[in-house]
Amino acid sequence: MLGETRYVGSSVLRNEDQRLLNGNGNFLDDIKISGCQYIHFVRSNIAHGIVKSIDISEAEKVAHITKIYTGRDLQGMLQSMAPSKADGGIFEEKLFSTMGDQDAFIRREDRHPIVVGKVRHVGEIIAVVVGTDPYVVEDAAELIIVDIEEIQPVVDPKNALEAESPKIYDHWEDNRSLHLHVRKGDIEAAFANAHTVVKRTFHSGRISASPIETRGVIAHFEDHNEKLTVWSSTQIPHPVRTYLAHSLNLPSSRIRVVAPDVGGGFGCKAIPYPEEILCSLISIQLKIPVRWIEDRLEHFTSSIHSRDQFHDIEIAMDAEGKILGLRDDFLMDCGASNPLGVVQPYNTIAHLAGCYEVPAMDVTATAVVTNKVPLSPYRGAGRPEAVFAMDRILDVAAQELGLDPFDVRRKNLVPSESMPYSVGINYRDGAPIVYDSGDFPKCFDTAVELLQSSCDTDRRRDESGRYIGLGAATYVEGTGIGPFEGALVRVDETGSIHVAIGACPQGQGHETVFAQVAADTLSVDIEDVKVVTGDTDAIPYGWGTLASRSAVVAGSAVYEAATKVLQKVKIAVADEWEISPDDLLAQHGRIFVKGTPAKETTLEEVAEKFSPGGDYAQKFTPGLEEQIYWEPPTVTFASGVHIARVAVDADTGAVEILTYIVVHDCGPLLNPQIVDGQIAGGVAKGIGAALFEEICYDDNGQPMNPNLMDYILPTNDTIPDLLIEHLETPSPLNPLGIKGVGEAGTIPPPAAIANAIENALTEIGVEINKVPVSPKYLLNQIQKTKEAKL
Amino acid sequence: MKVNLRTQINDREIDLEIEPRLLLSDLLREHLNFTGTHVGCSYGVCGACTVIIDGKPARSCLTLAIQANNCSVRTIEGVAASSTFDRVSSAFHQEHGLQCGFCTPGIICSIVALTESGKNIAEEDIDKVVDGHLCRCTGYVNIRKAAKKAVGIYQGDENAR
Ligand code: FES
Ligand code: FES
Repeated sequence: MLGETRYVGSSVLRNEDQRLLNGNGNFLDDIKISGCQYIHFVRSNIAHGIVKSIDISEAEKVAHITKIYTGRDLQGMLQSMAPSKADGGIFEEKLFSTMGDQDAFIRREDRHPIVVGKVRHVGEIIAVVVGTDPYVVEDAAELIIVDIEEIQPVVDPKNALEAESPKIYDHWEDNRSLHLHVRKGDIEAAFANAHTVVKRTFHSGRISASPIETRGVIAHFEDHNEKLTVWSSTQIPHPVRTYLAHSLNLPSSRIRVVAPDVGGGFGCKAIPYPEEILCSLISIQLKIPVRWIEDRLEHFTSSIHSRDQFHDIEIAMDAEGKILGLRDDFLMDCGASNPLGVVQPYNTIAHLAGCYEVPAMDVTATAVVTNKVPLSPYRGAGRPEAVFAMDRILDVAAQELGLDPFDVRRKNLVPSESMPYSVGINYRDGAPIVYDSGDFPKCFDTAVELLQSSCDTDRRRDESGRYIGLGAATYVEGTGIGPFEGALVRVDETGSIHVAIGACPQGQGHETVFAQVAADTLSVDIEDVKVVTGDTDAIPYGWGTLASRSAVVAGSAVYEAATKVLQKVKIAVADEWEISPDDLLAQHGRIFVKGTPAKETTLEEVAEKFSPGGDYAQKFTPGLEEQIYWEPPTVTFASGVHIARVAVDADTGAVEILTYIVVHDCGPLLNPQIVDGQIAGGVAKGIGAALFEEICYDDNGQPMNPNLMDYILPTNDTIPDLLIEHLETPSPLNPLGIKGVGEAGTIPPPAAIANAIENALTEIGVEINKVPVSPKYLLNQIQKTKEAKL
Repeated sequence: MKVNLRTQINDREIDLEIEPRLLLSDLLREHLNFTGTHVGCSYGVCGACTVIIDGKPARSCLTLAIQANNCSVRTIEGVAASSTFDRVSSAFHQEHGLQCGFCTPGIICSIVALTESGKNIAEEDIDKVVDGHLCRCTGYVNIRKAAKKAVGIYQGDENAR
């Protein structure tokens, strides 16, 4: 643990702000390399079919066009993108070893980065145009004639399971890509003894991450030193390097992947993509630097989508509203492939019980492939879907029992005295789920107090006749997953501190937060610390910034590495002064004997003596630096409660959020302002998922709203100010006691808001079974309810 | 066919032969290296590409470069040299009004244009300006605070830690 802190725990203003404010940020498309040519991808506009021919003859003639490639041209030069340990497969093996054979089934395809033969979704890459003018490569692309023989597309995931459904992969038996079954307790007894059983279907719609900066890649192969440098707007430079090495058959030491300033990621930049491989291959082939910037249409049709789960959930309750058992059978539409395998569906399973004591549960997940964009985790990663199913069914059960949904929730929370609490099933890293810390009842009570002090909770209508309602949802989140993150801490001969980490930010403030940790650990001024991120040449191994993990995993690595550096300092100085290292104190870059501050040296002097050839270097190891790869034992659980108060216009279907309350426990806050910023951004995304965002496909597998006019992102006028409180129960699982926060805000809003809408409309009796609750959906439900009553 | 463009961009006199279809955003980013102007959608929705043309905020992705003929264009790089900028940018810095920073230059340009318009600014004016920009990171809460602070109608949260 840290002793006295000057920076950790306070809202240190961000180091990265200045360049971003004055237009000097260095985003992918801002990197200009002379001689760089432009790449445009020709993508399928058909969802399912066989490419019969590609005619590039006219396009090739266009001036400024350097080269056009099709799948056949590139096929032999590439290994396919086999799922590898770089993408979470490392945990899959462990998890499956804890499950029975019939309970764990996964089938995945090695994706080819460019279509050879079969097209499986609108947006797949069919040809690549390379040229010297960004406008002309698009002109030329329009002259390419692609003939695709259409096959009946598979669009509805339920139909995908039927025997007569066309198959996405011909050599598969059916379209199932995954089946997971997890249970605990005596589920039959739970349901047999129940006073009340309710069952409902809940759908979390398919959504797009839509960072404001789209993806992009620059690849530059330099012949003279046979080095490939790839700049990518990615969350995972090190895993991308591994993929490139395998796909291109290059030693990874010859590849450098750099993530410059990244304009938002939220999970959609956390997998390796075909474009990274294709740009690299073409740069190697043509021996020129090449650049591709995803346009917004491509973002909707080639960057991963997420959510899209249909839950059939059933809950058994006793007369007092205690949960006896829970059954859930859910279907996930994973689109044309499932690049991260179990991550999203298993996260749903692992987080389903959430903050509640559920004595028996039986959960089945099935994933199917369809002719849509592949599904992969997006901020929340399976948890919002779990909370939407669980916290909705609780409200339905409460109504059935004639009880207050807030009371029912409170009654079922894991009591604080039960912490640490074993859930009785495993996490996706194969370790048993143990809620290591937290105080759920206190969290809940704090949220209710905030609510009561901030508004009139009895008010049911406003002046204009809108219905007002309240809804709550709770959540836990396994954060800080492994396998590891790296940190290198070096004091250079000028006394300045260099920190390199494998984590790679997209706005989370790593250059500030990890400087706080390093500065306090070494007891130096924060101005003397410089944090470098997103560069595989800066630190040999890394994982990336995703899954609410960086503060925990990279934070612990920085802390451990800095601690070791300080130990090294003390051992060397103590040796020279012939005292014990324990007698030394470090403060503000000075090292001195406790109680005798007159005898002192500085970090700068010590670092100089550690330089190769220096006094300390001879006696100890040269270089005042340490590199740590910190491996967490398993995840650490953050938790929280959200309450939404909404006004619903029953004539237009419009929903306004009047009050939004967040009480969150991510342990001690490293930088409160940044934590609150993460929560606010997360909640806005949760509100988007609850009310606005859904990618729709028609029966032909055509996306119907792949643009920012028809796919509605939350805007300023739709997001209220938030009331945020923190509980800070420390995690026992890492040296700083912290838990992750990146995704938390996104998890419960769909459930809390849907509950609030339903509560507002109690008089009418409307039920909400899906998000987003668009005006159209809501008006339909109101209409249906009214008709049913006639 | 090329056309002649004469315009002023950030105190720089521009006299260039350009293609008529060249977008202002591409002229700025690709030809003049003013890469602080970002492109998030290229069809007018996100606001990341906002610059100031003759004192008014404008989407540079929806503007042909030639439409800026005889105009005065200020990008974030030019705005950053102005005195209004310091107040606006320090408010964003203090209120954590940016995360990834990709939407930020566009928003700053809009706020600076509003500030310099000389009109008496009310909260609704700020809200309207922020309504016209997409940000996927911040959830807008801190952008609102920062913008209001920049124009002096919000002092900062006294209860902040
Ligand atoms: S890039 Fe111009 S509005 Fe989005
Ligand atoms: S700060 Fe990332 S989009 Fe606004």
